[in-house]
Amino acid sequence: MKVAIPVWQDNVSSVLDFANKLLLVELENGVEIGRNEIVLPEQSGPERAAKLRQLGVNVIICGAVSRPLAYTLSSSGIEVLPFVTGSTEQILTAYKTGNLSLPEYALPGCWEGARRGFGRRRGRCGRRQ
Amino acid sequence: MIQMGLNSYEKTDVILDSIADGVFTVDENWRITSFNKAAEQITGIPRNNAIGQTCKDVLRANVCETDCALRYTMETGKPVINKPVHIIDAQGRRKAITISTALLKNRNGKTIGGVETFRDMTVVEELRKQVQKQYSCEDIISRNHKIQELFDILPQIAESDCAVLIEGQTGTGKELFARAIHNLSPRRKKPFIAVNCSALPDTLLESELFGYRAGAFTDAKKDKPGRFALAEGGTIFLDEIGDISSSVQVKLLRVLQEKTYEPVGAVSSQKADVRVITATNKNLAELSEQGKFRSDLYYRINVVKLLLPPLKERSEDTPLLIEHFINRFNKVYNKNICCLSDDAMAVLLSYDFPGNIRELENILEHCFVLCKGNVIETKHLPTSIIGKTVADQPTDIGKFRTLRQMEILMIEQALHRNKDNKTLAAKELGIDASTLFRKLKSLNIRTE
Repeated sequence: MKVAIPVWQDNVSSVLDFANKLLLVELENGVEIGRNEIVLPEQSGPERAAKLRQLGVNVIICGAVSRPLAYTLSSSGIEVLPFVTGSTEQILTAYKTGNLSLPEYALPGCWEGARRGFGRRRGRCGRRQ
Repeated sequence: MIQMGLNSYEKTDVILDSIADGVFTVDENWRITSFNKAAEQITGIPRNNAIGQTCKDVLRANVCETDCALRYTMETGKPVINKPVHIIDAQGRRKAITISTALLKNRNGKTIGGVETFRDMTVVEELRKQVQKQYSCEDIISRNHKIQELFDILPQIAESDCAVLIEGQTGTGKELFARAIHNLSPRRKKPFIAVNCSALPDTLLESELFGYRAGAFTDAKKDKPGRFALAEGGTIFLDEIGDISSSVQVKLLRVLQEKTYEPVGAVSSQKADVRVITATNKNLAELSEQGKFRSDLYYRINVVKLLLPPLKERSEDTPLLIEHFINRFNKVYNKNICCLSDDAMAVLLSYDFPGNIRELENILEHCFVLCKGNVIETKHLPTSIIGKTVADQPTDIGKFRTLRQMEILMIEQALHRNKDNKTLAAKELGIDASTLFRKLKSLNIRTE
């Protein structure tokens, strides 16, 4: 499965809509088998969603995200786990171990229910690998 | 009023809170040290949550990671004034703001951080968009899979410069898509000219499209450029193309084939570097078969065809669009309407919307005029739509023969009414949320 994280320096980028770099991590049974980084041009929400679909992303872990983009991604079958903050490696480990919902990874201010994620339930993400 | 006895920090807080613009200060590590009331309102983030966080995680602007205004000021000492940026607030809404920055210095003149003030420009941006009609992909709101498929191909279509035919019922957003294609294309910096072909009589349409020369007819005292000339280098959008006469069809065919046209009364041809996007609410293939529309022109304009689904086929978008229009009209009418009552929402969700999104927009504008409170009730809806909803029409029971089909129907309707909120939908259906989740899985009902 492909997990994508928008990144800025070594951290999760603050906003998925505006991020200009994406880390793509390929996981197999919870074990990383490859990764690469791609540069994202300035795009509208629908274009960004189309790009993520084209890249074959299954899960996206990100900071803030606009509602239209979150809904577009989730209705395309991409699981969106938004409003997280921290270093990319920390967040990736937290995802693999099912700890992404810990308060230390929470970005301040998000709409009700958003931190539970879109598409599937966040608590199960790591364990399902 | 500033109370006596407050210390200087408290006084500063009182002063900052009285300002209508958002203000925050950061230390040298970009951590927020103060955050006023207006900043809370604009970002939607409470002060307690913002203090101590890095400013980019709180402001969430498109420039934070690429072209940070505060970093520029801290590095150069020069202020930034009224720079327009976009942010994503805590409700997931994209907002237009302007930011200004300055250095924060101590008594000795040493820089101890920075201050950023920002102003909500969403109303101005919304009105500007309405006046200039500068809509982009961002303004097309949908989670419908057919629309998503269109988004997948839109960038390639925009890049290609080929003719595009957009088919769809009235009010489905044909012009919005045409503008989105133009704004994504290499021609985006050149004009986008929209012409409604059915709004002009045949004789006028020709001179309107191609212009005329002085003396071409009585009162033609000087040359007038046509819409093709105005769109030079850009895009011309010909709406209701199915309504044009055969003589205009011939001239249009020539423009598409030879990239040249002759203004009325001109003796020489003029070159046209214009991309043509056409739209119709008619079935041009059928008209072409019946001989009512030139088949050679049909094949020329139909290089790429986009078919926009009517709103009744993308009912999952209705709650999203309602929310979008409520936000927009709140700004335009300076009101604070939060939502629709359950009953009003149920009426809209079961209505057929023959006028599609434009009709939904007009219905909500009607509600905004009448609604004095915070919630739109059924009584605020136009009387013309009450009684015409699908729910009021006899249900064709013959279509739903099995219990399973009835269950699917009821669950889907409950989810629609509750904007896909499963807890509320379960409550409405009188079942436990876990039962609903089990049924969604077993009945294979796809939700968000």
